[in-house]
Amino acid sequence: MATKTRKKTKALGSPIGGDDRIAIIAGVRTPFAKAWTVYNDWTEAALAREVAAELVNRTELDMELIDSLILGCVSVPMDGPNVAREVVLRSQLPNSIPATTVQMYCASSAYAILNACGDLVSGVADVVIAGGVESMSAARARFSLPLTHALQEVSRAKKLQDRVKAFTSIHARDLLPDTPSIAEPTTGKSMGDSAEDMAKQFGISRGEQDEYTVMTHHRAAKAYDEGRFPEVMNLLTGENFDQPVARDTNVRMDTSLEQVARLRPVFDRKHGTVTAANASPLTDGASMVLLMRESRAKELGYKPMAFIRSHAIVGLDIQKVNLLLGPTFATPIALERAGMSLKDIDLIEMHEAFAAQTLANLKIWGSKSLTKELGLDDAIGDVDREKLNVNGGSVALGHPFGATGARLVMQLAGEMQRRDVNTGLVTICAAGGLGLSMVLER
Amino acid sequence: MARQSAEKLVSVEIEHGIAYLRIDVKGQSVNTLSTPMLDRFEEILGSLQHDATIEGVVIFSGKQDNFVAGFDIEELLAFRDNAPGLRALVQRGQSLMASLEALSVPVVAAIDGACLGGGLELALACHGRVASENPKTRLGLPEVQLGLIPGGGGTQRLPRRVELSVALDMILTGRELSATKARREGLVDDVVHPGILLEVAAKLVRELAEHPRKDRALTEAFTDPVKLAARTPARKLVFNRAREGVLEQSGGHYPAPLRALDVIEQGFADGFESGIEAEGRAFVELVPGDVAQNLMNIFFMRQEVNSDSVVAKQVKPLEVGKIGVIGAGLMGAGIAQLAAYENYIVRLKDANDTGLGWGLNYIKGQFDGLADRRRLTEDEADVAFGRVSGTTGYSGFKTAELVIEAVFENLELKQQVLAEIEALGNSDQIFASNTSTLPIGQIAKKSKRPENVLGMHFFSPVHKMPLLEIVRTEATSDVALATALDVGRQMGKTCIVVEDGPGFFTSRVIGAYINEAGWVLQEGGRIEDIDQAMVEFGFPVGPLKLVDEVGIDVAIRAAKVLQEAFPDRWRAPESLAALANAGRKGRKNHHGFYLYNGSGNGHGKKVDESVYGLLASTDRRLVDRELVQQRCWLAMLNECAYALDEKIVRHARDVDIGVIFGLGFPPFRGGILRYADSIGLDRIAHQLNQLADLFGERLRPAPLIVEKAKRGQSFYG
Repeated sequence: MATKTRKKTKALGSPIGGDDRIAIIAGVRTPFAKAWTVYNDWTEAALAREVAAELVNRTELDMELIDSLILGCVSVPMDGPNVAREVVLRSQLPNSIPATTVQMYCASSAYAILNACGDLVSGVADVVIAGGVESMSAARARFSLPLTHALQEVSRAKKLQDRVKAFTSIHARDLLPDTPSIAEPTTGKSMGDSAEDMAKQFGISRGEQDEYTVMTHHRAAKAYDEGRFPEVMNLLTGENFDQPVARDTNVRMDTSLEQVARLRPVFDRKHGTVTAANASPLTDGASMVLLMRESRAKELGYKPMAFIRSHAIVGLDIQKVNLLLGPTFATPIALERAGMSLKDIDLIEMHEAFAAQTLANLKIWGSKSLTKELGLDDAIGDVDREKLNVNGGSVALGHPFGATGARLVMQLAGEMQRRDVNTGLVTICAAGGLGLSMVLER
Repeated sequence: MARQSAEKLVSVEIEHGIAYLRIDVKGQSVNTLSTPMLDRFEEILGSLQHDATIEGVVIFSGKQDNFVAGFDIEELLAFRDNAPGLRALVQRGQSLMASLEALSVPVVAAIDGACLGGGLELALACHGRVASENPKTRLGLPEVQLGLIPGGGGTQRLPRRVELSVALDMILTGRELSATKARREGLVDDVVHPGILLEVAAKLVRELAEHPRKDRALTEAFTDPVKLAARTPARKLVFNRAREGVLEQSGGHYPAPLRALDVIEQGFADGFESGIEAEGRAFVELVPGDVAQNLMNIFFMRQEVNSDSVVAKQVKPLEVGKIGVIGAGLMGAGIAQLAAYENYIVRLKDANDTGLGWGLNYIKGQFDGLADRRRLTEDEADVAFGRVSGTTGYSGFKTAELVIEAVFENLELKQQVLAEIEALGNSDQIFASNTSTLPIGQIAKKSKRPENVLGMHFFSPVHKMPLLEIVRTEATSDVALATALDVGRQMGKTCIVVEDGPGFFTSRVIGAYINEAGWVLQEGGRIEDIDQAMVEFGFPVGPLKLVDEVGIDVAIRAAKVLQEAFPDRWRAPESLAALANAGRKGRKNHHGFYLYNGSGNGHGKKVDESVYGLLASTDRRLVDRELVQQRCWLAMLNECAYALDEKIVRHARDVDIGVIFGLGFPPFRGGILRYADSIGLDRIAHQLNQLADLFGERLRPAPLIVEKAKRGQSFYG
């Protein structure tokens, strides 16, 4: 069936890997859960090893064949910052598997997949597991830098008076911990502030955002009810493993426009439109996909879900443009590399950091003037909402920073398979003004 | 390198004034002490004494993970009827240790690996001890486990080296210490990386040469309050308490710990020399005693069983890396936990989330417990737990080389599970049932690959019970059997291989025993009297308490299988069924023979008097405990004889190993068949006939017993 697809689209440029494409064999993820809830006591490695175990067991993969584990993680734990290696050492994967942790903010696990593509194409790996994990619940507050330095000095001091002296330069404010924040270091703006900016700059109303929010929740809930999330594994949580979690905990079928509209804006309390409901929540979760070249899949008897045709990553000048515009900048390049245009794409998964960010990007895509303003050659095209995030997006499902990219890829590949369509696009905005897009085919 | 001399047992190498004594018994995997070893040591000490160039001595082992495992037990056994020879041997050993201690230059033991029994006594006679960080480094005096006491000065030197309470614990229970714990207790001077063990030992030798330790007898008495206490009348209290503890633990069946206590106490009362003399005397008296002989014999039988290849040696077991376990109840979870602990990757399945969650929680609890007891670090425990993954489907089972089912004891269910596993299509996969009673052949009746099917009957709690009963059918292949044996031994189990049949070996034997206890109950015996009788006989718990632990429902189901299998001679009392019908399942539903409403200590200790109301006759009367003991153990013996006669079990040896390590038959009796032999089968047959006349035909002696009795034979004869 793969060859048939390629015949149909023979006008396109050649996919990554040429005749021996990069196959997505299977994907598994935990249910995503709001931070500080059901996964409160789970470390990043504990969450991710469940996914790794489930993935190798579901695929009945001979673990000795795995050449590499690459995981994205944004806020890595201080004990064991190479989370991927911790996962190998603490799971049933053989210790001989090399493991790397990569960081590209919200695109981290998608970037892990691109890393895997590179290794598979260059021939240094035959079989790779790529994905990511994030646990906001496990992220710890840090001491302030002055306090950290003082404590260092204390540990080196030999005399009591030196120990006391070490603290003399400490101010009361230094005793407050640095809590992990989600602000852009160079602009000082939080992601929420940037979303507010976008809504205001591109004229995305509160009503549009809220309507979008309700839709993405309803789509996600319906997709669950209709069994369209086979990649979501069941996880037994709780102190006694007696609380099964089978679905993303943020998804709500009963969400209504009235309910969503009642919420107060969070980032700009006076004139703002971005609320806790129309933004993706802080989330814990892990996701992984199994990747190999088409020929290897054949040898091992796997039927690939989809192939990675092209991809692009971009950096934006965030002093000039809004930092959540990554999809707008990355997508034309990925499409060009695929030899396609937006109308050739059957399904789109766009990361919903915020409803405002999603809607603003879509608005730009369809507008000649807005794209021109941003310095792009042409409009990307209008997106048929029936092809976009058809089973819900990050606003509903949740957004574990390190795990979302692989979630998008497996969700898209799965839906392409179910609908028996040929092409798909994944596109992600990431902090730091980064963007990543990927074109899949079958 | 100045001078060298090599020898089979101990080689000496002298370097920079230090003599390195390397113990390496050729042809053995571990070092043991023996008469030739004593000869060799005497010879070496003799030459060292007259060598003025020597500044000190380091004793170490040439074996991997082993310093010295103790005295050669085989040699000891040979002294059974040779008291004078034994006395001479002990004296030689003791004086060798004394002359080592009296050497004018310091001696340091460099300990890497097991340092047990005579090995630790040797190390104790040295002036210093350095141990390696190797987890295999264990220090202990396990003699009591063989019915003996340390005979090389250990009873005197250890309590003078570490706190009295620690020494008593080690000597009276055989508890071993890790290197770190030994350091904390002051038993060793330093714990270092194995790579620098000899270097550090040599350094300690030079330190001791420069600053010899003060006379320990003088310092200890005035600095250590516990040791001080041990030297004052307060020590009477310490010893009395220890004596009470020993009696409670051993039920008075094991003389060795009591003798050890006497000997240690004497050393404190009358001094080191007197203690050494008492130690030697006690040792010589204990060796030929029944208990020591039985325990030493069990030790050998167990070694035999552990190294028995059963199938032809060229049959290679499958290399098992992943084990699938079906059923996450107490047995399934226990098997999964032990497998993960022993480095297997485990896929655990239960029918639903509730069952699976229970199992994962049990496994996590076991690993947490190991971390709490510092047997593993928290991270090691987490790594081990990470080898287990759970599911409610069959994903991941195809790639398991071995699947063990531990689902509910129901034939159709087990057949269905086997069919589902076979449908996954791994034709090499071995399927083991953990059933305790259902014949494997029946489970495999519809199997496509019956050659891959066998029984692996674990005992509860899986991580603790040392026995694994492997059941083969006529169809079971040698590869399947070899694989089960290999995995079982990897899991640290002593494996007996038995033939297929209802209740195979162990369940029918324990079934007969419980059955008889049920009859005594039905006839008017009190629960506590029955259980107490068998505890006095030497079982760890009484039969009715055991039923509570196993589950009354489980016991009844097993009884039913046996009743159907042996309709002519098996008679089940109504008493047990009456409890089961009243919904009592034992400990698990807090309704059994005992009360489970108390917390902590009270839980399950008191008899639930309301049980009697469920029985046909509510009158209770006094029963003769000796008669209860006779009925129960002889019922068990009789069933063993049937099983042996039917060739369910291959050797008398396997019967005895099975009842001791699987069913709790008192080890000091040497095994059920050996105990019967010691009484004489003629008398046994007579007793059984008497019991049959009084209490029922089920107690009529098995044909094998009658026949052997007639011919004047014994089980081992």
